[in-house]
Amino acid sequence: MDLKEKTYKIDVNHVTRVEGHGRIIVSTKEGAVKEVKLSITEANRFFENFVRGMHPAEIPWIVSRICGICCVGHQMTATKAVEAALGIEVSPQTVLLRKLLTESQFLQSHLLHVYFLAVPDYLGVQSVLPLAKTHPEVVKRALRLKKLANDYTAVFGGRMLHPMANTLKGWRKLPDLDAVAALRKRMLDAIPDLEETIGIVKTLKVPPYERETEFVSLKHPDEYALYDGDVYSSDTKSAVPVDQYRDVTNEFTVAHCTTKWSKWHRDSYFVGALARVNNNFDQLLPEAKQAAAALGLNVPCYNPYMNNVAQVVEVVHCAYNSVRMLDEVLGGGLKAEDTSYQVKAGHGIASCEVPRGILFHDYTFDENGRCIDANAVIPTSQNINNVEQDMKAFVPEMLPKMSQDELTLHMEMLLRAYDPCISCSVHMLDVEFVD
Amino acid sequence: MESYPDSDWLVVGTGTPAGGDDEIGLALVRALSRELEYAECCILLECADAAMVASSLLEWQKPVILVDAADMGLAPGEYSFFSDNNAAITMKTSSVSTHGLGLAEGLELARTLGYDRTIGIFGVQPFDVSPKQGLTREMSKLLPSLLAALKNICSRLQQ
Repeated sequence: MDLKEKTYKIDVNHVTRVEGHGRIIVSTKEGAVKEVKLSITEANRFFENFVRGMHPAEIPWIVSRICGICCVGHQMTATKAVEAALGIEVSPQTVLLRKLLTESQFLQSHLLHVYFLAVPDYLGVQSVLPLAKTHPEVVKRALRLKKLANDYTAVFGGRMLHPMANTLKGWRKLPDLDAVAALRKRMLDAIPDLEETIGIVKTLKVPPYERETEFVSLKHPDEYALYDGDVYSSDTKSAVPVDQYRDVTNEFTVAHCTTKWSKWHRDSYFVGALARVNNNFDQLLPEAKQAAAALGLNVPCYNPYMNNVAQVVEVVHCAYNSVRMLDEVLGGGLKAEDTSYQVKAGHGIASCEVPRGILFHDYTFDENGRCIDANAVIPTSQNINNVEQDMKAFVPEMLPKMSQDELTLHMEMLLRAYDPCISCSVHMLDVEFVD
Repeated sequence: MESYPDSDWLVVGTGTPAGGDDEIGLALVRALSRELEYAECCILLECADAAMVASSLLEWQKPVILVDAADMGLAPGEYSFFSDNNAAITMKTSSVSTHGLGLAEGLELARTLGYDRTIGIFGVQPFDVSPKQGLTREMSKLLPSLLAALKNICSRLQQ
């Protein structure tokens, strides 16, 4: 078809999410792009209001419910922020257990997203359900790995979702060391499945579109930053302390989105696996670097579709790093710790990386230890602006080469690549073409 | 639901704690597990996603009774026992996502991947599944009679 005949009106309506609806709108007229919008239209969820008046210990468990996938991340970030507000110091044992719990969540989330949501696009099926018919071995492997990750979370968190073992200053019930040893063996036994995962992702044809942007993530001097660090920008090649997070996110509103948008040193920024791999590549474990090389992920990488590949690299990193940390637990044992503390007035801010990017929590308490103010800035809201900028850049590039159906699919794949917590969001959408 | 000759059934409670009556499957199987004759066949799958349901069924390779809250159009508190083959369980095939994979998708995945044992579903119509700690008062009152019904089905299947 001649470019001048390409008058498209794409309206991917009802891109729903756990907490809302989203919509992709693309309009072209005679080969010229008229409008590109990513619209999020869900109402606020008011978690920051729910926790007002609550006791400090309740907050991490309540805010875990913000997300069924990033529940560990919300709990960890809230725990750290509340501890900062109350001046609570934690032991190296507690930090180790929290890092283990954190990495279990990365495995759960990335494996679910890559296998169940991203891979079906590339293999030409509409979801994991038909994929089970066409590629049963792929889905069986996905299920094995996902179950391992779920069990991993349960060993350290007490259950696979919304864990209850972690609390302020320590652990309510320490993991059973026999279960830890069994988990370590299962992690090692899963290495062939990880290698097969790299093998299949390597065969996927990732769309070749690139747009230079700012990558923002935590950065830590001693390790690949997932649990702790300062806020690093790929634009300035420098980091700022987490308590300056409002200067990073600079949240603002736009008319077509109920989600707040963010920007830092340019119009938008990217958070998530690709940002972390770009910013902290040198601190990945050797096995993860080898996976990146095998998958053709060279940093800096400005192709947002490669975020799914970066997730696989992080799966490899977390698997091998978990074995190392499990050895540390088994070598040193675990001991019960005093988790008592005094409540007081205070203000605390903390950040963790969660699978979809950098997460900030901020709490203030009065002299009775009751929460009087709270704020959370989640990764998806930071990314939405960047997704729309990508769409605006890519649609003119794609338009000459693609039919309306192909363009629609690529826009959906782009949004999916970011793995947004726009629930139920980005798979098998009902697409309505507007006359 | 047919009886199963090797009497090798597992009774699996699924659901979400802090989801009101969505916890009924967990509560019933937890109560059943306290009875000696059923203790070894009871399993709890808290907050299980589709991957967990499917991988567990494929690993167990045993017939199961799944106990869960189910919207069946019955009066709240009523139960029904049926085979997965005899009911249209709503699938979220138009909205599969990291958050949208549940029990129905798990059963479908397991069936597609070769799980061919009997699946019986003991469904209980909830009063309220909005977020809150514990069962509703109405459902709590019905717990003994629902447990008796579940035990009756278990003993019938094991004969």
